[in-house]
Amino acid sequence: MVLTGWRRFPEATIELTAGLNVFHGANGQGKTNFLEAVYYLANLSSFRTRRRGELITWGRREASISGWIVADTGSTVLSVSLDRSSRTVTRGGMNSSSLLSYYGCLSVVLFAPNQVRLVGGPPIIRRRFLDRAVLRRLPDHVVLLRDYNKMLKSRNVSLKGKDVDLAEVYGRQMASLAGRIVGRRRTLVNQLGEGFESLYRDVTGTDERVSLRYRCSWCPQDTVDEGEIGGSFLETLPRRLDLDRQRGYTTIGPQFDDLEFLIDGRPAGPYASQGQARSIAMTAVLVEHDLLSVRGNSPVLLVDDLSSELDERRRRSFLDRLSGLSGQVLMTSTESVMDRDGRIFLVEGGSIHPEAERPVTEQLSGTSETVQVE
Amino acid sequence: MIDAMDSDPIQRLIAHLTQLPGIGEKTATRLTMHILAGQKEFARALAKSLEDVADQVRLCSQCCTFTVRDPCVICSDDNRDDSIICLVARPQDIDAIERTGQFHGRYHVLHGLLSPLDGIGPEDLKIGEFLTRLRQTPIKEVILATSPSIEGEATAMYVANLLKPLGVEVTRIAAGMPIGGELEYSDSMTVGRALQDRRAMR
Repeated sequence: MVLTGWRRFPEATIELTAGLNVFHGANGQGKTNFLEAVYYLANLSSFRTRRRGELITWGRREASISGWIVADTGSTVLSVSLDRSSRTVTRGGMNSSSLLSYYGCLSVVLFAPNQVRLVGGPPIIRRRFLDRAVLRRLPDHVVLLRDYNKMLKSRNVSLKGKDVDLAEVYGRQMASLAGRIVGRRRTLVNQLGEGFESLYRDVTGTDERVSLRYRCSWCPQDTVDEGEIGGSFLETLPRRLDLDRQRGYTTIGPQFDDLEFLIDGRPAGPYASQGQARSIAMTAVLVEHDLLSVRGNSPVLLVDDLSSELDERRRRSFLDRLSGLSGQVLMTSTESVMDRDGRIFLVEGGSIHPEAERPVTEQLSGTSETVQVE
Repeated sequence: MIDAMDSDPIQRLIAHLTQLPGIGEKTATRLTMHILAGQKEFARALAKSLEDVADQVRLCSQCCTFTVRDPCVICSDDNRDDSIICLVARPQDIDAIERTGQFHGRYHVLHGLLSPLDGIGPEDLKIGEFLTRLRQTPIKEVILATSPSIEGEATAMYVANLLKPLGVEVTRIAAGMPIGGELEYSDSMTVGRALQDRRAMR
């Protein structure tokens, strides 16, 4: 993997191993910046900022990331270079005109400190988790969400404009889309349920029972039938019309739904301890990793700052799980101690060196320009 | 907008062309240079065509399509069936249906689709004209031939609601698999819709 002008790295060339890679160093040395680069290469967006300028090393005009992707189906080089106003993406040395074909090349799953918000944070975080997971199996889910949002906004504009006839039309379109969206989300929740429970036990080493429950804002029946959910939406809408008109927006829909985690039958949101919340977040990441593993290709798991999140016991059991995963893992840590197979890198002042072969001279600049991201 | 007093006619033409859909500054410059390099007659003929289009074309008083003669060719054709009207979004949609040779009724052009997010409401479309027309002449069937996009569906639904009290039969064009299309290469939205709208084999 080659970085130039990226955040704290003016120039860096790193060769990763297919299994576990640990990046350690003091705070503020650029450990997370490195994970961010891999994340950016995969998703063309950062998990830390929306401002492109911040991604470029201070004093530089351009940043670039290149990675050699090795998969069972073949290998290719992905690279992205950006300045403040533009971005160029290439795949196998050729300009990628279609981003859709680029996105599938490298998939990553991220576990970062704020992931705990999956339990205590606002519902939108949990809805995104669900929709992301549905998307892995049904790529056209993104079209449903886009269309639904468009119809929702159209209805809201109509409500504000006091055009009830128009609002009724958009309400009907929302109903069929909402039925499909919620039907898919519930189907996924049902499918995840059992695996989630046993994975959580593995991760925590406890016998707490974690279950998932989808809370629909209008349809209390626990059904996955799209027609029934859509029908129920259509029945509820007229009863809410006065309220909706008064407020100027639609007060039910998938945009108000929530995914509830229950520990031994009690809602985790208000009742879970910090440790339990973290374990749930960890389990969710592993579940997402599992969903992304298709046909022998696993996503790259990015783990940022495990020690700030988990106590010793949970960390050990999480690391055990990670070692058992088939894909590549990139992990940052403030400690270098590790009793597992893998490659350790020291991140210091904008440079990255393999721990075992830490060079006295500029030995690294002569090595391969690429790195394996499997 | 374009400064009409711009002294350089070349820049002015480029600026005008960039207002057209799908034409950026590069293409506009290329077209302008092509016109300059060619015969002066062509440039004058092009200008005349634009002028004629602006001066002579209006909306048909019956179906609202673009026409020079009012009523338009289709509306003044006595051999067509008055009892059935096909509602389309744009004038060019009429050509698409005419090419099939399977429809012999009348048309009505809405000139767009409902899109509240872009500020396009029912009053911005030729819906009022359509309702007036239906009240004046007895109609048996209205075919809603807006495209199967969500905007097209919403517009069709809205018009269908308005037509309910009039007691005319309202139909919607079908959506689904394209003729000669392969199932395995079709996108899931299309296949999903085709499954939804399946019909019994007779």
